[in-house]
Amino acid sequence: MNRIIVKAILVSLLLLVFSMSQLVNVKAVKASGEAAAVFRSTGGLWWFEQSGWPNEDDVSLDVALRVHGLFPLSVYELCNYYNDGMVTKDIILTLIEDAADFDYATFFIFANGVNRTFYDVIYYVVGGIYGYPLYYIPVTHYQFYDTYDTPIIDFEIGEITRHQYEGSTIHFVFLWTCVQANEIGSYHYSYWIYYPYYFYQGSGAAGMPLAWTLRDYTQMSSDGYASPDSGSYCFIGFEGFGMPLSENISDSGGKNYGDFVKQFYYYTLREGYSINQALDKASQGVFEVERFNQTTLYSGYTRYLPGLGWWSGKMRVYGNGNNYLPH
Amino acid sequence: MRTLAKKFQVALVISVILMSPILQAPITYSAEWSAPEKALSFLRDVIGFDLTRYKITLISSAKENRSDLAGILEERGKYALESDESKIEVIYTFWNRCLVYCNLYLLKGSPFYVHLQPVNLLDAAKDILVRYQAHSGDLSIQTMRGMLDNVTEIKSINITSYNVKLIVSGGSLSARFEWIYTCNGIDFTRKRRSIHFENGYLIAFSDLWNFYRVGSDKVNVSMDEAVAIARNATKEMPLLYGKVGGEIVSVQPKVADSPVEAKLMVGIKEPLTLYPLWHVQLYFDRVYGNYYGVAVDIWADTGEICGIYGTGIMGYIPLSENQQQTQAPAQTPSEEPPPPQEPPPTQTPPQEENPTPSPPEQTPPPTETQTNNQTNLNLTPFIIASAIPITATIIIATTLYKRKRKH
Repeated sequence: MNRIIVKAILVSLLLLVFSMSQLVNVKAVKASGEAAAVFRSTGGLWWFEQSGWPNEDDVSLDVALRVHGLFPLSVYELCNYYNDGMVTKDIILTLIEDAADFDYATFFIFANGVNRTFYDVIYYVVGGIYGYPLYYIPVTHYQFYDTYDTPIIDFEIGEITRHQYEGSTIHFVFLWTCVQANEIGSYHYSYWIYYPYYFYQGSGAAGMPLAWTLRDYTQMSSDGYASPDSGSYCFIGFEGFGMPLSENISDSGGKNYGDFVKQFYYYTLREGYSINQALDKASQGVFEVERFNQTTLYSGYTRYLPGLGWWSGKMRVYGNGNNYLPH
Repeated sequence: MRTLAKKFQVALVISVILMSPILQAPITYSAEWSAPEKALSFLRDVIGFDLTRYKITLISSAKENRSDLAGILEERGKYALESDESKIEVIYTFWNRCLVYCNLYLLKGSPFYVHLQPVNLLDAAKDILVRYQAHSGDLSIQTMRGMLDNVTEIKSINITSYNVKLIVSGGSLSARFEWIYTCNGIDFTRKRRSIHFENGYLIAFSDLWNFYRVGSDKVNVSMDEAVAIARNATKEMPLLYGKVGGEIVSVQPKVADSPVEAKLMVGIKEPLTLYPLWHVQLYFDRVYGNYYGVAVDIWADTGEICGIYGTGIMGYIPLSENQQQTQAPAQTPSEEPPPPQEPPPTQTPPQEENPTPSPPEQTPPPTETQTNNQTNLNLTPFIIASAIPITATIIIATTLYKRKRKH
């Protein structure tokens, strides 16, 4: 009899241990530490023949290497650098997914990007089941390209981050890419509209800042430099077209926009300045002005494109520019 | 003889004693000069902060010889001034022991000052300038003070006196006072002093006046000559290479006759030395890759070319004409959206552009804000894990109970 009781207890204990391991696994999804990733996509990258002119290929490589080298390895458990052929959509999306394993993740991406129209769809539902599309409602989405010209679209990123149950761990994103900061964005979810015979199929996260940080336009400051919010997220990108890193700043004595990026990361990561303070210090170093809001990056610029008219652009800081990068 | 020797020794000792402070003076100065301390004295003596009411922490400090500034020693650092009611962060920069930048970031409350602060920002700027002159001992500030005395209210205004242009902008809460060097109608903006207030508080101070010098203020090259030089320099454009779909293609850009833009600005020929510069922007006949044109910078005093570089935009502009027509409007940031209209039921947009082609879910999902904050915790492993030991325990207990009853 006693033997049976002992066996029963042992079996119970084994089962308990087994079940505990399952519980431990559930919690292990959330790990700790800091992660950083630097991407330099060469999709759509153009450069002049050896002419002695500033060269986007060389400058973007120099900037990406420098930025990656500034992340202190003593702080960043994971600090990955992807260049040229290594920059694929799969790798980018996988890293975004992996960011959930860290307390803090940050990305710097150099790429080409555009905005694009997708559609929310209203379906007519027949007999309670899927019906046919009735209306198409245009929604602007944003995408940038990997080295092989494969687009990485905001709703694809949003689909990954929205499953991070404690909120996105990607706290700072700097996209040196056209139009990716045109807006903060909002989610276009699937939901039933009130009428019993219609179904609204949303097109997902519309807006890169939202897609990365899970903060929509009601939750993030639209000017994180001049009026930062109190959140833990910050997104920097371009509204309209972005400047090439290699473009010379004529009155600066030979500096270019790549120098601005390098100095920005230097001051945030090596001298412990907040995002806004580092933007100011980089503005001093490159443009010789006191504050970032005195630069054309902040105030905006326009350029004439033959056959396409006048285009404008400016750098946008969304969220909280008073945040610090772990350093 | 011995007396004479003794007298000589005494005189020598006295001389050494008397000389010692003189000999020590530069050494003492050299050892005592500290950028962080000088920054604090600037905050106290010029800005007027009551530092006794703050807990002061030097967060970072660094030294660097700036190769782009002829090897100038830059010393910079960051302070945090904290009290229960107020928090300010200060970032200072010294060049060769002279303060060139001081940025202030008010993070909490209002600053504590030694003296009552004027309500009017114009008076506040005048006070700062008076104290700064006393602090730095720079007599050139007197001219700038005189110019500011002629300003009666804060509005957009330019006042020029000899080679100094005072530019005032802003209003009652935020204002900027800037003194820049001007000559022959060219503003050498890097050679300047400035005081900048925002929301009633000083946020930035700069003094680059004594560091930048004017190498030349002569414009010997006219605009037309500059354009001609630029055109001549870009007669033969180098090939432009691009990566399209992983493959490298090349094109030969062609510079168009028009439009053309020329702008007179100020460039840096040698470190810290300013010269007038023509910036000539030429455009291609169409967009090639990311490039729309080529810029040529020409020194306006000599006509010598300073630099040639392609000008472009980030983005993704397709090469072929067809693609330009179909995709470019979607990328145009300034493009006005079409007027809202209810699409007809028969409207069928390209199927591949619909990102969610799968049939819709049949359960109503949560609202947007709820979903943003919801925690998508997967409970399945937890339920399975809990169910196994509980079921096992029940089975064992039942078996034992049955056996006991049999006995």
